[in-house]
Amino acid sequence: MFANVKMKSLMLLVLTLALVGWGVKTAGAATQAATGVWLYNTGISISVVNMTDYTLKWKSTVQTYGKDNDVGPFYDGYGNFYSSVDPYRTKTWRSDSSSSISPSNWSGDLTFTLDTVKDGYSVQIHFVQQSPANALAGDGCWVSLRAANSSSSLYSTSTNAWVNNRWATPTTDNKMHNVMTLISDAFVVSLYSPDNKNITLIFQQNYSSTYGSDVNIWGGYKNDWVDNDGYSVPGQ
Amino acid sequence: MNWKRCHVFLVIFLVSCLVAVISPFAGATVPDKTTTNVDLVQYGGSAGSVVVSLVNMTPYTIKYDYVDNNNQLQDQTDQNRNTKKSFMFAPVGIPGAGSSPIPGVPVDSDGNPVSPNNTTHPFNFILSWDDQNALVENSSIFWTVQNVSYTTSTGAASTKDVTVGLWFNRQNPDKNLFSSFFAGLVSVLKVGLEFAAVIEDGGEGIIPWVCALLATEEFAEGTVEFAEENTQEDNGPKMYLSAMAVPTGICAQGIGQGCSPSYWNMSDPYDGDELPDDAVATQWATADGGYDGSELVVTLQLLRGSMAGNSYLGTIPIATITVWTQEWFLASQLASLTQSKMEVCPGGRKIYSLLKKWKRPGWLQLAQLIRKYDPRRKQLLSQIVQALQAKRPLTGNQKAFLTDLAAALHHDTNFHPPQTPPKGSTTFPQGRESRNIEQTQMLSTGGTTNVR
Repeated sequence: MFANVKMKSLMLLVLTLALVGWGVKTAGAATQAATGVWLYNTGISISVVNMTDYTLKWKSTVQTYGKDNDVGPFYDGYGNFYSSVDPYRTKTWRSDSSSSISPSNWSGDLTFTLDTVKDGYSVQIHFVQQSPANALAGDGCWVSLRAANSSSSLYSTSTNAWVNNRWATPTTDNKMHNVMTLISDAFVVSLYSPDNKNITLIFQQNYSSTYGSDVNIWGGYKNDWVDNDGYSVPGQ
Repeated sequence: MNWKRCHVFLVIFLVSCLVAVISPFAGATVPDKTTTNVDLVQYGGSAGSVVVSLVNMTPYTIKYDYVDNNNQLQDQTDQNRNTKKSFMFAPVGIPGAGSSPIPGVPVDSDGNPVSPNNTTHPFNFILSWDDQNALVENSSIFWTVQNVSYTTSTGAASTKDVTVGLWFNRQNPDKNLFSSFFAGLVSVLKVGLEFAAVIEDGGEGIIPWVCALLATEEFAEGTVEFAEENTQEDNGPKMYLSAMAVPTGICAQGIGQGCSPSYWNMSDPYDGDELPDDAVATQWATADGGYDGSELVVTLQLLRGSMAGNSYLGTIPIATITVWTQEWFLASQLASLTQSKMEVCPGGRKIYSLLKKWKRPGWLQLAQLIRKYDPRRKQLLSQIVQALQAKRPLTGNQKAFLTDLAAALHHDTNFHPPQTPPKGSTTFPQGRESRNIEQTQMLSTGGTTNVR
């Protein structure tokens, strides 16, 4: 009797721990195909904020899958591609879920380069297609930020780290992120989504002055959280 | 002292050390605030972000002021995707939150801006909100302007830190949008940048951030077109946005109806009912804001952005906050007034002719004169400038005040002629430009990554 009670208690404990473990399951399961923000194919937007002295230009190698008329980000309904934003200005591309240019799932890159600035500061918004765990939710893709080349001047690491007083995030850890940040002493680049629908890429410049670089003037907080309770995010 | 007491002190000491290590910034008190007449209506942006551009047009340094309160900026590292969250965040950081403060405008021993000025520039960052648990309705961010010079109630000279805040109220107010003051504020800002020796007259097209700050491309289309673009009702939910010094006078307990800073909108004609607009300048009266809190003027200008994706106005809202000393703002305002507005009295005409003749050196002398005024006279001049801006008739006292100011300015410029630079020695626009080119070349060639 006593042994049965102990056994039942043990089983209950194991069951409870298992449920707790299920409940607090965090990002980074093995079946996740890529790093970053998970996007379904529902009314997303991509905004580019250029807070630098230079024109910010971009090219696309994004491949589209699924809907026949899905042309990918920064194309309009007529096939025109919008590829730059002026210094200190912003540009936004929106999918239109009511039209034929609603995104499906994408793979490939948007590569961003500051005009006249060396390539070491170029970055990519990297798309990886993956079917969600629950097909009812529709297709989607992972969206992440990464340096555009191996000789990048932008700090990249496998773990979070303070770089020039700001919080750099990993870019290839196959975990979910809502914000990803690459940092150098000249520019800080961040890709974030507060709602898993609207994505913003910001380039921000460190100026110099008669006192030297502004790097030590900037500070901040640790920003690397995950907020996505969609039940069918793949790999989660 | 017995050991027990010693242990208690040791624990208190260790806890204090721990708190000091954990808290990266000193705390500040958040004053209660409700919507006031200086709260402008800005779009929250359909993408849920607002670009903030902070410009320091004072000789004082500015530090970020950490506030320990709900909905303020803090670490966000919760990796549990199932926990819905609500907070404001700044993905590329916050100016003045590092080990060094935001520098002030470099000044000489007389307190005049040194030329050339390669120090002053905007600090651009972005604020966004995760609203997945609940809408973050009220959030704010603060900075401390350090060692602000002011005159006490007894007339003594003193210095004190003054807190400046930026408040967001994201309740999507059902308000119409207006745009009539942006152009007036930009004209004052342009004079301010010349005054601070960042640019010379006509040099505003040289530096990219100056072009952006003065919205040169936007205004190239004409102010009417700009106003139409900046009031398009299409960019998602709205928010109230305000920037001002934190009061230390009788309004220190709370900011709201009945306890608002004075404001002026540089409109023509003046009409308080037009608020909320797309630009405003705020300053506290000494009784409400304190003698220290009333020493600064804070201006706020909004590029609201548009869903239409206008190439120059952009899509993400941009809010520019400029912190000024009272005398620099007043001098810049007076210098930016057109002749027609100064024609209202002989004193105004005289000041206009002197400022037109002497340009920046004359403005510097004007600022020096204003600096010597006590708070009451500064306030009187401020009221005169507002009346001139709005083409309202001046009282006899106000006309007499301008006559005195004109005589003093004439005296100073006559007996102490401003030092104008020799012809052709316009060093700072070229210097600034060459610095930018040098910077570009360095980045292009892959040399050191330091931007010098």
